[in-house]
Formats: sequence, C-alpha cells, structure tokens
Amino acid sequence: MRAAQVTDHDLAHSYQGRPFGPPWEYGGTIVSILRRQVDVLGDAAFLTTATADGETTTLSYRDVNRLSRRVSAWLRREAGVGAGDTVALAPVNDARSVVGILGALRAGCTVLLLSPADPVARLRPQVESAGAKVVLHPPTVSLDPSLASVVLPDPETLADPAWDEPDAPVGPADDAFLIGTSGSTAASKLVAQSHYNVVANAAALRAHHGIRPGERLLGCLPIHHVNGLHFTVLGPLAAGAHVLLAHAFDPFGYPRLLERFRPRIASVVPSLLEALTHTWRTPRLPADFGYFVSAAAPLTAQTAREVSRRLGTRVLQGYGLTETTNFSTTMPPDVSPETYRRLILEADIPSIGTAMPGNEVAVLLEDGRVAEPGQVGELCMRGHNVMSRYAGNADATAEAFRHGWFHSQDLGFAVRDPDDDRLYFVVTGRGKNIAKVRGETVSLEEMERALRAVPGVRDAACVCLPHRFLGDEIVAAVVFAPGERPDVGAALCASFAATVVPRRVLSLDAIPRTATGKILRPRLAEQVAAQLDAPPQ
Amino acid sequence: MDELRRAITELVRPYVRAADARALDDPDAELVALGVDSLAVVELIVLIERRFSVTFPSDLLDWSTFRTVTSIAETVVSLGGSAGSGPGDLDRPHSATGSA
Repeated sequence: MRAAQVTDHDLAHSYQGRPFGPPWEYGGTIVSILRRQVDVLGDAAFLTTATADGETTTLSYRDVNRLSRRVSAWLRREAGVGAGDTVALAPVNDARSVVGILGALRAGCTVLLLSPADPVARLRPQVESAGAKVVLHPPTVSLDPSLASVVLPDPETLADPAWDEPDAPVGPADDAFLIGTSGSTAASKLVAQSHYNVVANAAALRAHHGIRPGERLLGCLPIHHVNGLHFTVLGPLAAGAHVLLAHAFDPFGYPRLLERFRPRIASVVPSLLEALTHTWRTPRLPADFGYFVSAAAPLTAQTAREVSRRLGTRVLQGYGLTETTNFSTTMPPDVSPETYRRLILEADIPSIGTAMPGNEVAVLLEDGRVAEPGQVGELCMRGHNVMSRYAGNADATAEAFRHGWFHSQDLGFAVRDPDDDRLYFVVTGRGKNIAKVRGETVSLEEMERALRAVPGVRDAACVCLPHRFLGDEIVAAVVFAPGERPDVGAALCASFAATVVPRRVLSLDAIPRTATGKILRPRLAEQVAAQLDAPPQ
Repeated sequence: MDELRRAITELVRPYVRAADARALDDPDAELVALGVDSLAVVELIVLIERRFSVTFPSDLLDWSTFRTVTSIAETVVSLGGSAGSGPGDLDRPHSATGSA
C-alpha cells in the first residue's frame, strides 16, 4: 500500500522505516511516566540536589509528583497560563527548577529554557519569538527587570490542587521544550522538542546504558542545556533512577560527591575530566563506579588515558545536538577492552560511539550518497529523537531536513571495528563556525558582526582555540581605526554572556580575506597563533 | 602590593571577566566574584605550582585557598614558595607538604 507522498520532514523523523506518529512505540509523555513511577516506585528517591557547601535535599518520586502538581495548579490559577501556552524558565540545578519544569509541562505548557547568564539582549528575542506568556526563574537567578519575570514559588508553600484535578492533556507530537541554539550564521534558532522526542530519548538512554530503577547517576552540567536536562533529569526519571544533581562542577567537591553518592554513571564534559585529573591528588573511585559519559566537546585520547591511569575507569564519549534531543551516539557500555583501546585510548580522535536506539546515523557526502567507512562526510541523523522543527523558521527547518535526514553540519567518518561488528563514528571537525566556551555555544560569525559594529573597529574576526580546561577559547582579532582602542570586551557583554566574551584581543593590521571577502580562517589562525606565541614586548 | 602578590595577580588576570579587570588592583578582592570560575582555578593551580615550584597538598585544594590573591600568596609562602622561586630556580627545594 502506497502511503501519501512522504516528505523530507517525515523521512528525517522516521526510524528504521517506522514513521513518527501513532502507533507510538513508547506510550505517554514524561508527565504520565512520572505518575506511573509514583505507583511503581512511590517513596523511592528520584532527585538529590546539592548546594555549594555540600548540603543535600532528596525528593522522592511521590514528592516530585506532589510538588509539581502544586506548581501546575499555581501556574494555571495565579500565572494565568494554560494548555498550549509557552512559559519561559531560566533554571539552575536545584529542586525548585526541576519541579518548575515538570509543573509547567503538567499544565500543558511548552517550556522555553533560558540560559541564566545570557544578557537580556539575547533573552528577549527568544521570549518574544516563542510568545512566552510568563518568564519564571528560581530565586537565585536575577533577570533584567524589563523581562518582568516571576520568581518560582517554593512548592512547599503552595496548596495542593484537588486530588482528582487532572493534568492538562498533551499529545506526543505536542511541543514540550523550546531551546535556543546558536546557529552558524543567522540569529539563534529555537529548537522545538516534542513530548515524544523526550520520551524516545529517555527510552534510548535507558536501553543503551541499562539503567535500572534505583540506580544512581551523578550530574553537574546545567539543566538549561539538553545534556543536563535529558541525560541527568528526564532520562533517569523515566528509568526510575536516582540522580544527584550538583549545582555546578566544583573541582574540589566533586570527588566527595563521587565517594558519598556512589553513582554508577557520571555525566561530564572533557574539561571537567581534565580538571579532576589535576585536582584529585589521591583519586579513588568507589568499587561500584561504572563509567563517565562525556559529551559537548571532543574528548582527547590523552584525557581518556589519564582517566584510565589515574582513576582506573573508562570514559564513554557520546555526541548529540539540541536538534537530536540529547545523545545521537554514545560508546556502548559493553565495548571490549581491545575495542576501547583501539577506538578511544590509542585513537587519533576518540570515537563518539554507535547510534543510539531510536535514531539512525549516517555519514553523507554532498550529493546525498552514504560515505564508505573511513570516508569523511557530514554526520546526519534520522529518527524519533530528531527535533520537531526550528520554531518559527520554516526555511531553516527545510534546509536542516533536506534529503530526508537531519544535517548536523559536523564532519566525520564511520568505522567498523574488526572485533566488534557495530558501526562506530568519529567526528573530525565542525562545519559550523561555532565555539563552545565553558559549555556555552557561541556563533563566531555572530560575534564577529558584533565586533565590527563597535565604533573604532574597522574589521574583526574570531579564532577558536582549543583550551584544555575551558573547552574552547575565543580570541578576538581586531583591526582598529587609527588612534582608536575601544574596549571591545565590554561592548560584547551587551549581547553575549560574560563567560564567553574573549579575554584576549589582538590587534591586526588586516583580517586575511579572499577576493570575495570570505575570511581565510586557516591563515587567520596562523597569524593569531604567531602573535600569541611571540615574546612579550 | 608585594612582589609575590603582584606575580600572582598577573597569573590570575587572564581569568578575570573583562569588565572587572580594574578590581584586580586590590589583592583582597574576591576572585569568584570577578569571574574566576572553577575551571579557571584548576588552570591556576597548574600555573602556580609550575611558576613557584610548589605542590598544593590535598587539604589545601579548596576554595578558601583561592579566595583572593592574598590567600593564594599566603598559601604559596606556607609551601615554601616566593616571588623569586620559579621553574628555573634550582636552589629551592620543592615543598611537598604545607604547614598551617
């Protein structure tokens, strides 16, 4: 039977021929899953949050259910939002933010996640574009007054709704989250993740990592990003696991968290592992520790070797984008020591692993053909974890889903390990001009435009340098007008979070460009490196 | 500001938020408030150990040591380091343990 004309969009969302739509493989939404967990797990621990001084609070599944119902009722009654509305939320890694997110989803709202450190010039367009009815934040976050934001109340002080008051009905294809992503060229886009994306991703994590009810995971990455949100909150929730969500990464306190909480899996980024191997002077992992899952930046073989040598454990690297909900690939936990050595410890570029259940991954050439193993092409995905769309941007959405695959714009190749018949992937480079500084994605082109707009700047370009502890560092190369020396760093703070603003600004006579005006990035990188290495005057 | 604190200030400077650069003129300014975050502190540990030929013992690897330029300087002194010690200074023995 021939189906109606299948679009690129449909294909990009199908998994192994199974289209995105009913009959759904996984029932319900994360909200209905939470309700089920209360019946099955009740008072089992779900979320332990830790403050900077090590104080912890633990909420059970029953607690989180009860508290998020209160937030949902508060939102509907006091904040005047209802099913189908969008609420913006700038979360931190605390119980109130997690409960706030779940409460908003229960009210049938779409949650626009905001980065608390972003300047208002970056937040306001997102809030307006998403049509958020209210902007919420925990008390420890302060936002610009012009956003008229509202503090999330302590749910312990809220009244319970009637015991039989139902959650707002939402369907799997409805939007659950809107998350900004810094595109390569255009203004940042809003990724729309559906409720089914959330559930499919959670199921994939559970299957890939074999997460069982009551198992412990340690997270410390911010939940306003998809890795923190899905891998260390919603995924564990769906699996009935217990997560310790640290407020932030503290190189001094982290070893104590590992020792006290004894997780099987710990979510990290490479710079965090680098920091640990330097600050944990007498490392000793608890015997029941399984592995680190590293993402967001390229893991080096050297870091993996240090972790192996000093901490005696493995790092399973994973890869994904906001547009693929969370992880698209991850090293399999059951990888043999020989394969781990070949693909991680002794590899030029450690592998990002195999395709997660629920999505297919392929390396595609420009003409759309699948590349041979070893041949470099673009990493593309299709499956039930692929975002619904870029909200309000049909052109960018169509472009991203052309030929029936989601295009990551990252380059890499596939490799079959001789002992292990699975197909592994390796990322060789970014097609996009972005940098990831301290976990925040920055469009280099957007920053360059902002630099060129500063009075006294003739031309400017940004170079992204790998940094052992920060991920990437952005160095600004600026051609100043004669006699002018504006404080470009201060100017950039108006539209970029302070943590990503370049701390090193080099003065150049000219930015190397082609005849048509494109920046010659390799040449620029050489010039910048030469200036940085030159002895001080 | 004495020589040691001056030297440490220069090591810290690249990690301070651009907008707060002037605040670093005060060696008692709280570094975390100036944008010196956890990843910056890790790099500083490596740089300070190398620059002054000292090794921080586990019990001194905490936030109170890195609270201000002054607190870092005091710790370096307690570990036997000084403005004059450095990777090229062969006379100075490495200090393995700190004293209160």
